[in-house]
Amino acid sequence: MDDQQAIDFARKAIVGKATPDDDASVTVTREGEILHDLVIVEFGQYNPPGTRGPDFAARVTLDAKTGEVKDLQVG
Amino acid sequence: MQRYAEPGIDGKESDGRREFAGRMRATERRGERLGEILRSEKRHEGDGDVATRSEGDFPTYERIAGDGTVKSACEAAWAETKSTTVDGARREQGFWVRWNSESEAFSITGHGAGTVVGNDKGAVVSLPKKPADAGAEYTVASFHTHTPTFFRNGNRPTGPSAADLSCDRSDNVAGLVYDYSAAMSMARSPIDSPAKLYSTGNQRTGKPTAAVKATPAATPVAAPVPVSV
Repeated sequence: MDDQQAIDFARKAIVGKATPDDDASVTVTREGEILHDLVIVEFGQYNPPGTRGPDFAARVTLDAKTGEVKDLQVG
Repeated sequence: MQRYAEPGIDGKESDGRREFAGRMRATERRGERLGEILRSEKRHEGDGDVATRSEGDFPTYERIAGDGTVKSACEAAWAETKSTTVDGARREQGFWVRWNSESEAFSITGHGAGTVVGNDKGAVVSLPKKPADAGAEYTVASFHTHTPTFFRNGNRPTGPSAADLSCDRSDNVAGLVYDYSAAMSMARSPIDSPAKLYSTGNQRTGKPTAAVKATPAATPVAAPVPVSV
């Protein structure tokens, strides 16, 4: 799946679990040294200077082939 | 990297194994982030500023966290964090820890509460402005709580975030964080699950400059005067 598909899968996965800010950054990384069989979509969390807070709003790990959610964490 | 995602004996990963692998990868990434920040800061500090800290320096995390006054305040803040958590609303608590270099006593000041957030949002807290050092009184640590996941539908990694550490580096203070003991606070975890204090890994650098009370010098003893009879 391409990055946009991964983001779409991840957005569906976090419904009811996390709501990133509208302007939150979204990063896509791939894991698996040979197969790149995992895709990690991270929805950023903006912490203004001096604010202690989480490093992300949500992080979703997907199977790169099927889009199955392997792991989902919230900030 | 597939270090934590190797297939089981039957060639398939179990759900539990996959879940574990996912958590380990996330934990590893967080560790790498924290490590990067620490390494970056150390490069700017010069040789030995952190490694050679001695008794004459500011108190370490262990000493701060072990103090009775600090411990009580942290536990009270954690209790308040839990008691104010309801479905759809929760918030973090925090304060500054002061230390008197003469009396070696710790005190608490500048309580703050984070914005109330819903179940689908991460909690944050902005402490009041860090109190300036005054005489022998120094601000040596920040403290804040994280929040329960009892009403949340997502699992949250526990312990200090890279953002927490970054704040403490910027404020030049040690950092204390109260959070659940498990590596991941799972959705719907009981509010009273075991919890503990974490260190963000930072420590106030430099040395206290306030004059230390001079120890009274011993009264000189007059030499015996020979008495002639």
